Amino acid sequence: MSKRIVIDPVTRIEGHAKISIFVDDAGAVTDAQFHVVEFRGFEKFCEGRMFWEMPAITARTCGICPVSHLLASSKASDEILSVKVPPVADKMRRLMNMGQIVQSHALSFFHLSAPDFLIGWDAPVAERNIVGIIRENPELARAGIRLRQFGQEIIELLGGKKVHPSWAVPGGVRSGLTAEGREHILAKLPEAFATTHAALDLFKGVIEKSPEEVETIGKFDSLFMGLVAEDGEWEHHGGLLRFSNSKGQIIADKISARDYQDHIGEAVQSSSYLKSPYYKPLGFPAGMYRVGPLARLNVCDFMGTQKADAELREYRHHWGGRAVTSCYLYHYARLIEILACLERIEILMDDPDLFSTHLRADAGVNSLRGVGVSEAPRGTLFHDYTVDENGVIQSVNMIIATGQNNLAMNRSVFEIARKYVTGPEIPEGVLNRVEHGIRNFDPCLSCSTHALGKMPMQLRLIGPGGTVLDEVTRDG
Amino acid sequence: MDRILVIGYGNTLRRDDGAGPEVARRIEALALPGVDTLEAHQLLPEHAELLSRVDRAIFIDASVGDCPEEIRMEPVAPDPDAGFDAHASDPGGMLALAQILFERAPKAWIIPLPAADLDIGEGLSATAEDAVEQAVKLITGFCKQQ
Repeated sequence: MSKRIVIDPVTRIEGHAKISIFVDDAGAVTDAQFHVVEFRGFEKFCEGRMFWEMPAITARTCGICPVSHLLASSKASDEILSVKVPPVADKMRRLMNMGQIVQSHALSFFHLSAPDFLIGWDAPVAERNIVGIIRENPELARAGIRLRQFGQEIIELLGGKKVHPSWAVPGGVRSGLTAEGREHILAKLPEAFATTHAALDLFKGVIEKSPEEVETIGKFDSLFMGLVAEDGEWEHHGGLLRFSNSKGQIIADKISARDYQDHIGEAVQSSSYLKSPYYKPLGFPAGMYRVGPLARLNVCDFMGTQKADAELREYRHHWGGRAVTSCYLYHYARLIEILACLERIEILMDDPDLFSTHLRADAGVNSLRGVGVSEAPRGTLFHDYTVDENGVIQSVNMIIATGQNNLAMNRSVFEIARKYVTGPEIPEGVLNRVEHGIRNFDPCLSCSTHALGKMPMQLRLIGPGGTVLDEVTRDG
Repeated sequence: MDRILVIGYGNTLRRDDGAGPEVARRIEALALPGVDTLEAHQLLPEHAELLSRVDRAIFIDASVGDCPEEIRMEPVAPDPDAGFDAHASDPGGMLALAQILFERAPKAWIIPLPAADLDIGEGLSATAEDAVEQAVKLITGFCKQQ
């Protein structure tokens, strides 16, 4: 007879979720499930709207990664127009995406995750937060906030200060970077580099001191997927899809966005509203794959910039070569990606196209289907639209990073629980580690409301017949 | 003159959750002297820096909890024990962050607005629309007294 431990919902992730851990009578963990209990209805909501509106509408689905939806949607819409966007528009979209990656990864590392490994896994939740980090290391905390601000400022320099920039549009972008904007970015880059290097040194020290966490916070075999350039360089906005495995072998390569359904299936499980994508040739659930920073670094051949490549070599040398499999190293991968973005931003500031005024290609509906793929901070994001001849949306399929990591998050929780849960009671520190196992993926459930009073947290151990054997509750 | 920041936050694609941003939008349209507004999907760490630069702050958020029948401003103080989640940072937490990081937090209030409909979609319910109108009047009167 199985018993069930429920964590409901997880804190410090975007949206609502709960976790169930199943244990048998002997207290051994038999399964783990990460449930998403709030229905995403945005795909249906978009039907009947004009495709021109889609970038602005879909950007509003999420307060954390609006830019990712904006860009994937714009790329899908470019395909409906059947245009090639002007070079500077592509570069500006890339600049905004890199700003998004920097700010999102900085938030994940400094604010959401660092409290666990810097303050301590077993510290009270009231101390295990950004205030705790400020007390422990005030300069690091301030620098982390400024790094996030830098990424956010890049987004605002391009898209304005409104909540969701309807700046990227079908065919290009509405405006380019100004000379003042370029100067602002150049002035802020040195500190951003310094903060990123400091964070890398810090995290390398953390994993050197506690290598056990690398082994126990979600280390397992899976496939990995991400965009790479034609020559295998790390990508975040263009390129083609690649799958690799835990041996570091490339198993599928140069897949165009339009063909994603030949390679990715979407399973629906009754326990969660989150779809569970899988690699089709291996079937469900054997086709489990991971996306996001860890996966992007595994699928690429090289980063393409000097400092990030040096970091990638060191990372691969110590932690698994072409297949780094510990979810705990998502944090490390995030920092290397921040560094890569900073270097690319620096190079872009000297691009001769930077102030070109040809920002948008004009056309009407030339294709009844458009698929856009972009790398969101959390992983590959797909927007797939079909329209009628007037451009009215007939159907929408969105595959989000958190969905693609769903099976891997279950597996990660299972591996952590198997290590630390051995009986019918909830051991001290387990909740924190299980939560961290989820936070490694920096999941975003995106559609949540944020009304006051909706974020309690509950950890339950439920015995046979539904009896609650143990319970821990936190206020929101 | 005191500098005032009006922060309305919530998801504008979840009907009444967008009441906070709607209040901020309407206050901005009034162009009240000394008053800045911020529409946000949610409170984020960088908002602490904005808070540290003003004398008064008013947060407006939809609420699914018990709301008083009359829309009113409730004082909110820095709360260093509040959560600092990306999606769940609350005003007390943001004020504490401003105090700790930038050594200055404004005097602040929150106006909870009753949410009757949090379904996916745009537009406010009659309940939320009425609450938004009351909140705008309340904030306008407050700002004019400062």
